[in-house]
Amino acid sequence: MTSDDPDLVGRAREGDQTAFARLFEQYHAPILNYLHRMVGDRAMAEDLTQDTFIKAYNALPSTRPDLAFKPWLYRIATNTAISQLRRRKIVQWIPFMPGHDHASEQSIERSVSRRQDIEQTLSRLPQHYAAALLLRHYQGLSLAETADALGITENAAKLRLFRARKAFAEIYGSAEALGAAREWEA
Amino acid sequence: MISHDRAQELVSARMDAPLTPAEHRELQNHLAECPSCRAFVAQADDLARGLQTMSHLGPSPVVSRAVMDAISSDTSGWSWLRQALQALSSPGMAVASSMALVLALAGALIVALNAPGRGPAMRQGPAPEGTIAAVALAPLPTEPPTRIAEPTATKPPVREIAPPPTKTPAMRPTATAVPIVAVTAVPTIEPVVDSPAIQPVEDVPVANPEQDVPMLAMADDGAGTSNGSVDLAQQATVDEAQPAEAAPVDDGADNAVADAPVQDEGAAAAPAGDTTQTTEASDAAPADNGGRKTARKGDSGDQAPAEVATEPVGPVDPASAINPLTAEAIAALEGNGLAPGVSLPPAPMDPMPPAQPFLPVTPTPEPDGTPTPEGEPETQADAPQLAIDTSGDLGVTALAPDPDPGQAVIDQQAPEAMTTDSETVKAKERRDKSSKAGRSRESQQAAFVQEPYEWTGNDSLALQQTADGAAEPAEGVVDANDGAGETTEAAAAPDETGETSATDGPSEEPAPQIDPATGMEIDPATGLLIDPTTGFLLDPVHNRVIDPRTHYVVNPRTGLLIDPATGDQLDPVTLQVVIPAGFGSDQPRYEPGSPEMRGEIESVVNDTYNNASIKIEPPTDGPVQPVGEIVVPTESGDAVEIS
Repeated sequence: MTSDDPDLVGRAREGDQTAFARLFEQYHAPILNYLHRMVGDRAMAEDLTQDTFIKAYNALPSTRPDLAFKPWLYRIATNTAISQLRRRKIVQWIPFMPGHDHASEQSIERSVSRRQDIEQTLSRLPQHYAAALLLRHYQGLSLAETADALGITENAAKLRLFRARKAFAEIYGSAEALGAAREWEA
Repeated sequence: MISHDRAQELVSARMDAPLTPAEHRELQNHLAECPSCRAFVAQADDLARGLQTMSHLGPSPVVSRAVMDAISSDTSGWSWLRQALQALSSPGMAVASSMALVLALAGALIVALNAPGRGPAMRQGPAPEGTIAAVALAPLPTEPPTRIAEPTATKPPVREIAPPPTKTPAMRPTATAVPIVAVTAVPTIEPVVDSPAIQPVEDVPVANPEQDVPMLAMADDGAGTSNGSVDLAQQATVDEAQPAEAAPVDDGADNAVADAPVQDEGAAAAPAGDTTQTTEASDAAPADNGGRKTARKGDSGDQAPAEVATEPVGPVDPASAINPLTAEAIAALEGNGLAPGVSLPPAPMDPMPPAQPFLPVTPTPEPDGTPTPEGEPETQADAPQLAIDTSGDLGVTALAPDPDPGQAVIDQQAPEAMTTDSETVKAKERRDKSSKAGRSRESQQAAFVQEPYEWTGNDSLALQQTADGAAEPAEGVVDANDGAGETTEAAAAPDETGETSATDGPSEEPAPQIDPATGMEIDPATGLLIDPTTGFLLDPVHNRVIDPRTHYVVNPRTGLLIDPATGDQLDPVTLQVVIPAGFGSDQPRYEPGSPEMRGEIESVVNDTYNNASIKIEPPTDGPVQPVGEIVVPTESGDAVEIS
């Protein structure tokens, strides 16, 4: 949370639309990316982003003055995404589209393959595990912020992250073994 | 020695916070001896790195516009609650409001208790007949409700602070409830309460809504302006016979109607008649993404019809049609190079245009072997078709041109040039894409490429004979009919050419060399035979078919070129990678030479796209699709479920 947040949040809580617009500008893209990774669909992520901010706007007046806005916003986004996913039961993943860099083709191929494997593996995880991993590593939230965003204690967040990483490693390891077997057969 | 679970827990904890020295030591000791936990470390690191380096989307102007519109137009809905909470948040206002509320409630309680017989009537509710009669016979209130002026004056506009809905029915049953109506201090309720109940009684003056207007004016001088649409809506609801003419003309209402992009009388009247409904509709609008849909469909910041219907009733400032806050946010995004609509995903292209040639085959070169510029693009009718190979051969005769005689002319007029620099560049780009495509495509291609692409049967025999004869130098123009009529059906084609050449005699163009054994033309550049039907070069020594343009080997079963660098099968005209039917399986489903082959290819490609992780509509042609942009499932388990 930046230093401007408390003032902005305070003003937004009092109904200052300009302050809320600043907060929206600040967190719009991160929330959109987080939701995009959660639901795997850009249009849906945009819808959910819109819902998240409107919910936040409506709920701001009833929040406490010491509100940690960022994790609170991620919590709304997480709940919105999980609710939507439960409703639609979407299992989808978006492949990583490689950008142009100067790495060798082989390294690009390996990198793309690994990222795709990671995203595929992530899509197979339970939603609360994927949310924890995305908040912690993709969005760069601290452990405390991740816990706050998930609505759990830090110890519970630590445990959830551990279980999520373990579940990820199991699926990812089996996929790697399968891929190696395929390459060997080929 | 700690357990695996404990070690992995420490590995995980280490990623979130530093370990204590003791924990660190324990973990290091365990990792030094445990390969599985070391693998867990690597996988966890992969996960963290992979997530950190994932791509990020930019801000979406669509969402910006929708959210900004939603919050800036939030003058209805829950904004009254927000304003009330803000008003109550100041200490002085809180005390004043509390006292006013207490006074109002006490007054209402006293009046209700002192009125004889009113309590039970209110609780039980009289019969409808009694209600109508009582209301009809009751005297009209002649004085404004002065007792409740105080709380009314301290509140925001009456239109926004709606009374609790439970009190409204209690006022409806009898006309004696008029004082209670006054106690609740909601002047806008009066027309609603009286009009529907009185309307059936024709000769009752109360039923005339025009007489209600002065009451509203007495209660609130500004009601005539601010609630003009309310009056309009109520009268339109009460008296259907004179919906618009009898309604008092009000500038505010007119403005509200005029400012609506798509104005519907019913839509305009609906929110005015019921403030509760307005509140619910406005609150529900963001939830169902109406605003976003509007933003997407709208031209440029115009209010959507749905939003207009839920707009607060009252005069609308035309200057506020585009909210400055919205404009500011959008301008900020545009300043960052994110113009609205830029980030919208591209519209899917129309797949499979019908005019696309059907598995185009490289046209036959000119008889003299001189490459000429390519002819006009072929149409569906002109494209060479795959013919049914009645002989059962798997050779190049499976690729037969359209039997239309005009086609032969077109083919002869459109020979292919040799490989150029641009084609080389394209081939390199294709190889680059192919290398990025990953292992799935290559492994599937490998199974396909491993199939023999020599031709067999009669063709092989004929070509073997050709090989024997090819060693002999061709001796000028010979009679093409000599020994050629009995070989193959395809060999009969050059008869005419041979005759033509013979009858034309020597000209400025050198006569093509004809192989006496097969009757086929000999390519002067390579010394190989030219298949008269396909234009491919036949290499009898290696039993291979060569594309004259690219010099790639042709798969005689499919007619596709085989890229020697990647093993991809390429369309002979566009040089795009083709995914044949049955691709990835051990036994391709296509029938060699079958006219259905292309259909098979298209269906498989479509299936592939549908099952792929990202769907790309073929921009021009079904089978001609860069494989590098899709992920081809290699087994049923790879299919991605998309709702």
